[in-house]
Formats: sequence, C-alpha cells, structure tokens
Amino acid sequence: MVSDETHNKTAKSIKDSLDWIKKGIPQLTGVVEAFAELLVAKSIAKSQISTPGFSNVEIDLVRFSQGVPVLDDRKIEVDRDSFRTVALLLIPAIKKGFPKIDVDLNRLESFVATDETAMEQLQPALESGSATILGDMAVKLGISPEILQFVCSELAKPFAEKVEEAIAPMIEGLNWLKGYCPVCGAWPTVSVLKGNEGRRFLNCSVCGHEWNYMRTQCPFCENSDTTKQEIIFSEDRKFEYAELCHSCKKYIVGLDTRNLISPPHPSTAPIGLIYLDVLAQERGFTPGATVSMFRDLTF
Amino acid sequence: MTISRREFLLISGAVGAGLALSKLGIDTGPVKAYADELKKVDKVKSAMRTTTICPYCAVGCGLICSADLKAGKILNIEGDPDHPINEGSLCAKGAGLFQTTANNPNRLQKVLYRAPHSDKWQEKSWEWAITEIAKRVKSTRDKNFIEKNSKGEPVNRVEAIAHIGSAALDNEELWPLQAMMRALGLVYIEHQARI
Repeated sequence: MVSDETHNKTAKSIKDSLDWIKKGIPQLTGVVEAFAELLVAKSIAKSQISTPGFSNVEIDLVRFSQGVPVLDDRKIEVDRDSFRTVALLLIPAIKKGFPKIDVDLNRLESFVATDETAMEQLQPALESGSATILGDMAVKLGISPEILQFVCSELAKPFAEKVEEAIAPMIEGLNWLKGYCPVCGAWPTVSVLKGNEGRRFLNCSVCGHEWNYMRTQCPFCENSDTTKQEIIFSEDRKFEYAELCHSCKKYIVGLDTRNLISPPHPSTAPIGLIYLDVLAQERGFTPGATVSMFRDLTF
Repeated sequence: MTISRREFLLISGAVGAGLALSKLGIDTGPVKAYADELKKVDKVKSAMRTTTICPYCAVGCGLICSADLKAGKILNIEGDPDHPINEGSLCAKGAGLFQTTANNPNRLQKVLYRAPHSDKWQEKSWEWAITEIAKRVKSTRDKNFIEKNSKGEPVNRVEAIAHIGSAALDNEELWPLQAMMRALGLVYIEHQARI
C-alpha cells in the first residue's frame, strides 16, 4: 500500500501538471478537464489496492535479452474486492469528466455496485478481444460497446501499474533494446527526453513503465534510417514534438524535459501533446500505441 | 480472476482498435482549431535528425544534428546519448558547434583588418586578404629563412612566423594546414586546444 503522503504528492503533481498544460495552451482546457478527475482517481485507486499476484516470479534472462517481456507467459490474479474498489472509484471520476455519457456510466456503475460477479461477467467479453462478445455484453448492460471498452481499459490500468511497480526493480539495469514495454509488452504512448545528456525514455501506454530507447530509432518498426524520420513541432513550444516514421507511418509524441523547471507528471503528458496528435494524424500517420484515446482526432 | 498477458492487453485496449475521444462526448473542436491556427501562421516546423561525428579531435564523439527541412537550416546540435564514446556529453568546444553555424548572429560574414598600431577595424575583400597574407608570409619567410644552424647543419626553418590553429578548425582542415606550415619551414606550430 502507498502512504498517504506519497499519494498526496502524486495527486498534487498531476493537478499541477494539468494546470500547467491549461495555462500553456488554453484550447486544451476541455480535454484536460475531462481527464483530470480520472487521473487523480487512478492514483488513489492504485494506493488502495494490493499488487495483483503473478506467477513465475523469476526473470528468464535469456528470453528477456531476446526481447520477450517479463509478463509474457505469466498469469495475473485480480481479486474481486480490488476490482470493485477500483471500479467504484474510477467510474464516478469518469462521470465527472465525461458528463455526456453519464447514462451509460450510471448503468455500469450500478452493475458493478450491485452484482458481486460483475468482474467475472465482464472478463470473457473483454479478454476475448471479440467485438461481437463485447457488443453482446454491452447490449446486456444497455450501454455502448465503446464506453464499456473505455471504462474497462481504465479499470485495468491501476492493476497494470501495480504489477509494474513489482517487476520494475527486478529488471533494473538489464538491457532492453525493444520499442515495446519490457514489463507488459504494450507500445509506448509518449517519449520523454531527460537528463543533461538528453536520454530518451519511452512510457508504456498500459503499465506506465519507463525504459531507455535509442533517440534516432522508431520504436514501432526499429527503423534507424534518419532520412525516413521526421520531427514536427510548434515554433512556440519547441520542447513538445511528434516523431513521425515514414517507414511504418506511425508516430509518437514527445516531450523534452531538459529545460523545464518542473516536468509534467508522465500520465498527463499525452494530454498536453494532443495537438501534435492532430497534426500527425492529418498527415496520415497513426499513433503507435493502440491504447491511445487520441487515435482518431481528425474526422 | 486470472488473466494472461494477452488478455490483459486486450482488456486495457492495447490490442485492437482504439477509441475515438469524440465518441466519449468530448469536444475536440478547440484542439483542432489550435492545430489549424498553428498551420495557418506557419508555426509548425519540420525537422530531420542526422547522427554524425564531432569534427574536432580524435575522440570521435557522436552528435545529433537537427535541421529544418523547409528552411534548410540547422536547428540544433547536441551530443548523442546513445553513442558509446560520449553518451551524450560534449566538451566545451563540441558543445559550441552550433555557434559555428549560420544561426550565430555574431559570426563574422566579412573580412575585418586591423592595421599595425591601429585601433580600428576595416572591412576588406577576401581577395585582398588572401593576397596580403601571401605577400607578407613570403616577405617574412624570405627575410628570415635559416638554411643552416650554428654548427653548419642544414635546418631549412623559419622562426619569424608562428602559426596557431583555431578552435573552429576540424581534423580535415588541420592536416593540410599543418603540412603547409611545415613546408614553409615553420617550427612554431600550435593549436588552441593545447593552450
């Protein structure tokens, strides 16, 4: 469990980062405010649950060095009480930020609050990846499949972050050369330059793990031909940019924190860079992280 | 509930189609308007990065050079954090490379000449400068050329001229420069980096 002091610090850091984004680009206020409650609620939820169990704790160094993420063949155990705690913290927060979908959210909230087996009922629909099964579940609950998927993906994140907290110390110092997360294998959502030397760190879209990656290599296709890479940025905010890969037509947004007095909290960074998503998508590029909610901004 | 990694990624939305923000009732209009405005006022810049090697000394530090594709202008030069030699660090000279580009407003564009005992700079042409340097080097060398030392041994040297290499000279420039100075018979050949 995380102490209250740590949790308050995280919540303050998230709020300060969001205020900084709004102050810098007032046009992002609507999007920032939509996610504000959710981000803080996620940090509270994380502090209130214990780490989910996972099997085969030992790291297979050979497989890891070959690019196999730690969680590859491990099973993650999520208990019913923790799921309920997270759901009942996050769904009200989502309602505050996304008032236009509150009818659907109310139904989902009441389902989770009243049905003890809610987690088990939702599981097959979500883990199958099948739109039909997800659609059937959404119909049963009387909500939109997109909203069901969105809420459940958010509910999964505090658990993913808890697992990451447990695994990160085990892989500290190990070499990882891949563009996907060494913990869970998901794609990164943001690239951050840090330290005097400007090392590049990728931030996982699912578990929030951060790992060092080559500055001039595309994380999604490993293309290192710089003639097939491009960076776009606003002249007024040179520390924010999108890295486009002409080889795989994917992009990742980035933040150079080297000259920032107080770097924003990593969870808030993608929100402040959403205008770069628009610019990149208008040029026909897609975000490498499929979990991004900012995938479809141009139409 | 026991779930595998793949199932976990499916639940978290990391596999399969993503979600559109607009479907969650969020108005992305102001964000798009901001992006459009940036394009309209030509604030969106495009850059290409190239990895290269510092030209100065034999250490061979790695650099990342970013250039504006449209303007054909260098935007930034910094140490390459992934280069095994320097890991992003640069010496003062390497870190100052950007100042040698066209971006430096203080960089001299024309030849300036200050005559002996004068306190004023005069603008001169390149042609004048090169001719004048050649003339003075030849005249000084001719007057002061030492063929033999006190023991009568052949030395063929010039002690009246010294040469100092500039900090902005790279390895490739320094080699022919030094060869030329040695050919003239100079013995006092130095470089800024050693001072």
